Amino acid sequence: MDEDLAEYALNISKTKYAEIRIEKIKSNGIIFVNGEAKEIEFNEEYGFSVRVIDGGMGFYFSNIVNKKEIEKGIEKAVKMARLQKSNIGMSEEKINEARYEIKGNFPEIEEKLNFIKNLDEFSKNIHRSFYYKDKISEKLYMNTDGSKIYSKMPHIYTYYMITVSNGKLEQMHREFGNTGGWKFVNEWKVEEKLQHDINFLHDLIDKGKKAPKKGDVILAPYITGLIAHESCGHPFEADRILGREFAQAGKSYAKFEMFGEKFANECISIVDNPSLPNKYGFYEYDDEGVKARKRFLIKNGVINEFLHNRETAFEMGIESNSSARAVYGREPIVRMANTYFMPGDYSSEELIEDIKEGVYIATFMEWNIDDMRMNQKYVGEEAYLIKNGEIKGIAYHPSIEISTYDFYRKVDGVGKNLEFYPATCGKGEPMQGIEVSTGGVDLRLRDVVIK
Amino acid sequence: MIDLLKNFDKFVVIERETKTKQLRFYNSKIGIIKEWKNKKMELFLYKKGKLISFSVENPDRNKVKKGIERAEKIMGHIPPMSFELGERRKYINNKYFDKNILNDESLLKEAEKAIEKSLEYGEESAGVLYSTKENLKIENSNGVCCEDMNSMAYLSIRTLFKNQSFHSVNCSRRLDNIGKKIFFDEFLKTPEKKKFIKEGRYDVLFTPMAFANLISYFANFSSAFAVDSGYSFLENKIGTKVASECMTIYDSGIEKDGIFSRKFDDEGISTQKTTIVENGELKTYLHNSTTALKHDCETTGNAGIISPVPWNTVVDGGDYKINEMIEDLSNALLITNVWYTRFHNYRTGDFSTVARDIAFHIKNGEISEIVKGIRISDNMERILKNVTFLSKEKRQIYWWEVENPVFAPYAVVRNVSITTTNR
Repeated sequence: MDEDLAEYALNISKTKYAEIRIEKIKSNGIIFVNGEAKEIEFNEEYGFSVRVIDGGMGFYFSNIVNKKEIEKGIEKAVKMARLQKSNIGMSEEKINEARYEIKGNFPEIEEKLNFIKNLDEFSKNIHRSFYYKDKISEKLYMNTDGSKIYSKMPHIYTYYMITVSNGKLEQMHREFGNTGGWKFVNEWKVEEKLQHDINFLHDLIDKGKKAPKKGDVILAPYITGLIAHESCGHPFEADRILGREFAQAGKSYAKFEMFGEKFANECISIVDNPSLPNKYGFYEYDDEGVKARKRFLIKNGVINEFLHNRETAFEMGIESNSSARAVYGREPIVRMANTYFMPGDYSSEELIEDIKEGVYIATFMEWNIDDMRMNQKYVGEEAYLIKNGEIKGIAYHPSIEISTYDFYRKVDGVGKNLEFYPATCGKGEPMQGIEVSTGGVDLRLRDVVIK
Repeated sequence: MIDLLKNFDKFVVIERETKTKQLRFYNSKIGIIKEWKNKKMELFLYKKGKLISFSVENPDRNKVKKGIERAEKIMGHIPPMSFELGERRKYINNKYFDKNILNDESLLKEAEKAIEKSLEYGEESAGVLYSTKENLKIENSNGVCCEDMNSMAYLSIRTLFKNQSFHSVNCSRRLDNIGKKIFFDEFLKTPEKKKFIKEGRYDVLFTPMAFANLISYFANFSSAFAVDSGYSFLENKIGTKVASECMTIYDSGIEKDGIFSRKFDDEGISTQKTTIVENGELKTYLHNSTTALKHDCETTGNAGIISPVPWNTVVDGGDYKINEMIEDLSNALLITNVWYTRFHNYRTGDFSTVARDIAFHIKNGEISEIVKGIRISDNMERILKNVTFLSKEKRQIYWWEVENPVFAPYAVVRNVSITTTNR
């Protein structure tokens, strides 16, 4: 993949540091709404980006890939870098040379369409929309330190949104995704989930009851995965802590001096791990050529590690922990991969049997969090009332609004069932939507205000 | 390359060439300067009732030919789809174009001016200055072959002061003085005392930054595709009241300084001014020719071939000055920015959004204390119906959380449901 061009770019850069990324992405998409195909598309992207450090940092992207354009790109990036005066640098890292490829193919359009058409037909009595996407991304990364990484990865993704109306209107959406090929379609069991969601929304309209105003709450993996990502992963990103994202994604309640502090109850451990095969946020080397490794963010309630790329690691005088990721045509910034709660010992039944009054929240639609990652809200869609240790009916949109500190201190039981969900994490400007997965377990919180 | 498309019943070819620069600053210093160069062609091909689209980067005849061959192969296996192409070519082009919008020295100077001004108010600033120049060409099977040139810039700057923050943006089709003219509300300097408020219903004064966020969602909901796909509370509401009497909202592709202004939409149809809401009544959705046919009306010149898109959304201003609006409020909140607007149900419009940056309590017509940790948890239609006063002054808002530009006034909304984190 144009290795000569990449080498040429680095040779002519004559700067303290330079890197080049040449990328090719082939993707296919289908949109179906209420029985009608709305869009069937295929796309091909092919471009290069260079980033240099010389005085400051300069970045240039072009989707014209040839020697002349690469010369122009280097010249412009260097010129932009030299307009600045900063202490920016890259941490010292092991030089890596590697090629890796995740196997996975996609069938012809008929089979993909049949998959979506069958789901559409299956849910034909309600309002529904479906989105399918697959892509194969090839990337060559090289830097002036000597690292050279080639990767080829397929991604597959499906989404649905359904609306059930019966006096009231209720909606539910779900995502499915993996790093890999078509074989995952069968593992997702979309039809089963779709049937479950349709049935539940009908029941919710017919039988949903108001939740108690206060009680114990069990949050299911679908929600706790998101919580791990939003209230631990994001605030532990070093670029946020250093203020680099202040105008966009915000800062963080976390500070570097909190390292080693007890932050959560002892039963809480949270990990971000890129190297989980076939998870949506998988990678073997990050976008600065650093070998991917597991990051223990919170270990038994104690703050253990923050997420760094080479730029933030340099500023802190440490090594990167392989958190640099870039989407096509963008600069690498600190990102999560697959972020999850470490499983505990409890089954769902064991967590429930100890609750006198409360709710079990299985899925959500609405959620948000402030830009310091301290004030969070989740509104349940699929949720159940708990009374005297048993599920007793459906809860109508129970909502919890809780501070991050309170959340991590109220958990007293951690489930043993770890489940991963795909998500597209947004950060950076221009926005970089990147594949991640959120991993959750059942968490029991005591004495929570329920709205 | 149009000769390659003669076998298709209908087609649209969109060629776009953009150059973009961005200065990104944080901790009050430039941290990175970037440039992007993009050449892309999108093709929408329709034959015997079937539509397929594909895109080619840095297009040449060979790449396009290969794409067409693949498209023809796929067409044999896909279901029929609707696709209409309208005709209207009375292009209006009175928008500004700044040929110097990518000038490195000017960009640096403007970013530095904005940082300097922000530091008069606070101790740290971060943000971006982004500018882009676009050449756009559209050809279609109705014989349209039209070209347009656009320039746009926006400066987004957030300032930290005494553990509080505020955010300002300045958007224009011209770079001149974009940094110097960055605007900070006078009331930002007022109280330092903090207060935790109780949950409940409050009158809220939204600044243009905050109001634009809600209106940008409203503009997206007014796309006929969003309505048809279950992503809008506006279904079956044409001709009914969806906002208060004082609210008139229109979409405009022809605003002189609107950063999304365009001569024509993605079909090659001329853009226009379209009244979406007039005195509170929903007049129309935004349409392309395909959705217009389905809804038995005329296109509004908002293609997106698949989904109609808003250009610049404009809220008609009222008669009030900001000071008069504050004076009129006895127990209210002033919210300067919101983010993470998320919907529990797109069809009902139930949502919440987090107050980001500084917010104040207004007591007896005066800004009294800073309030923290609040969230609007309400319904979009109810909020629009409770708009009571609008300022004469408007600002064009576009940034990370407002993805299509809105010309928004200050707005007073009665009885907004405010929730907080339990303490």
